[in-house]
Amino acid sequence: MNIMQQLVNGLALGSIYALIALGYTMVYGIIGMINFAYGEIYMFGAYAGLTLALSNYVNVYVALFGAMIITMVLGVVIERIAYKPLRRSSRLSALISAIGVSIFLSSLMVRMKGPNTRGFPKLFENRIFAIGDFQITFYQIVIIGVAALLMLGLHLFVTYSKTGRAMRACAQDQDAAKLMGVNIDRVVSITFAIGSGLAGAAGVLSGIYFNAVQPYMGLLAGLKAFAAAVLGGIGSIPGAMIGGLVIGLTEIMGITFNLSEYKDAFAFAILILVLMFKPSGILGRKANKKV
Amino acid sequence: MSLLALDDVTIRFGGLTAVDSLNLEVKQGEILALIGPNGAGKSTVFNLITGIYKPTNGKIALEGKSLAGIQTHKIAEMGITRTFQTIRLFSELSVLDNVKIGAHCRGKAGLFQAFTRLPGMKREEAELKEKSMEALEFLDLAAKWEEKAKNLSYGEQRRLEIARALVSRPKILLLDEPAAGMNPQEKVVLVAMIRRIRETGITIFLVEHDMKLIMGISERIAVLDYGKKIAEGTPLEVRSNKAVIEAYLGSGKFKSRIRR
Repeated sequence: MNIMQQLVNGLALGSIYALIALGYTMVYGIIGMINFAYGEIYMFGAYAGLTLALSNYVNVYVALFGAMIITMVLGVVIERIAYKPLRRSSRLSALISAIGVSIFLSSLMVRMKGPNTRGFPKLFENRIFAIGDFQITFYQIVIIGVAALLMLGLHLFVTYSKTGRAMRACAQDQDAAKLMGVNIDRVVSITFAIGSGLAGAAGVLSGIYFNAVQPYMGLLAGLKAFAAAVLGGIGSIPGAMIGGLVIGLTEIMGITFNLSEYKDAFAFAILILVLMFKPSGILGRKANKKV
Repeated sequence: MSLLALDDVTIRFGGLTAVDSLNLEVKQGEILALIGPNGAGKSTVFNLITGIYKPTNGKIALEGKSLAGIQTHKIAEMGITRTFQTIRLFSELSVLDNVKIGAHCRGKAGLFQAFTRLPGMKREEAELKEKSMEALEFLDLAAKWEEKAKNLSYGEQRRLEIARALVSRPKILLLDEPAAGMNPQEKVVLVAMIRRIRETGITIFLVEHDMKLIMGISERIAVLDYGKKIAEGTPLEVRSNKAVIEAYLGSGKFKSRIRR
């Protein structure tokens, strides 16, 4: 077990966290709420991918793409039903609504597919590439590659597209953006769609990687991704990417040093430390920005 | 026909009547100023026109089309844009991006188009950039297009707000205290700029405190006090109006005023 090896493992796991964390951070950046249901959207994505994969008609990439579309629609519907009516009320109401949505979604999945853990069908041969001591599996390459592509796409979209620009404007001053002709509801819907699509992709990737899908998988993954978003600086897109990778790497390093019983604790230990010493996170803006 | 018409517009916040049965017409192509003591309801009028507040009573219409129930972003699309009393730029965005947001309502590229019609989107972006640079040039800011908005000087930020409001080619531009905080030289530049904007066919409706500037630039002035219009006319008429003088200087009797 060399350090490079662990780095790759951590990178693969961290990519999954980072994809979920992006949803948290984007929605927070724009409407200032934490959508705690992202973990469950991730779980839904995993099941959607599983169902598509089991249908025997599609290959892995179609399953991934299909799961993303399904979770995007799911995200927009959730926003319309559970959050939009609460946009003007206190943040606490929206937060409670989000927790309600996440309980609803996992219960719904138990009802639909049963509580048992399911394996993922082999979508493609998992080969191991070895360069000396260093090994990387094909699964890991796919996960890191897909995550990197999605993040690159997101970056390009937010930086160069018209809607991306509107998103950045809304994050700074919603009322001014509205007065300049930006349709806030539309921007919020698109943000939820993108965040949910990324979480859905993360679900499929983790289903492939761990070969396990179950209705409560979203809880822990969602919380760790939230920790990642806070670590990176909530509201910052590159921050969420970095935060996700750091949490993934820390978790794997913990396992390396024989602390695997505590592996789930690392993310939360980091969360507490960040909140204590640098609440704005690695790349976060200072909290005094809005007057 | 008037471009923008406020017909018997009233808004109450709890027990306070901020704007009281206001009748006001903005004519095509003019420079109209709205003045009044602090708290007279001037900014509230702007917020009513742009749909931030809904009037308790009365109607607002642009070119005869009622604005009731129309969302704020649609009103911008219909041709009413504004600047703010306190600068509200997207400070972390570049100068160019700020202006581009101003033209957001023109053109159509959304999420779907962004992924499916990349060439169309690129063309639209190129056109948008050209238009935005024109607006920046018009306001003498073209050289700073790459800067972050927060790094501009105060006067430049004020001009950037105007550029952002102009780029969508509005029918009417609302300027909320455009000269606030400007030094005398900056004010001279501002006046010239407002005139140039009007020459391009855009109607100007402004709220301002600087009397010298107002008297010099506006063709008509409406005066608001306690939410009520107490006078309207040319600068000369308004200047000699007794009610106006009283509102500004007091009648000599003690009055307790609740201001918002």
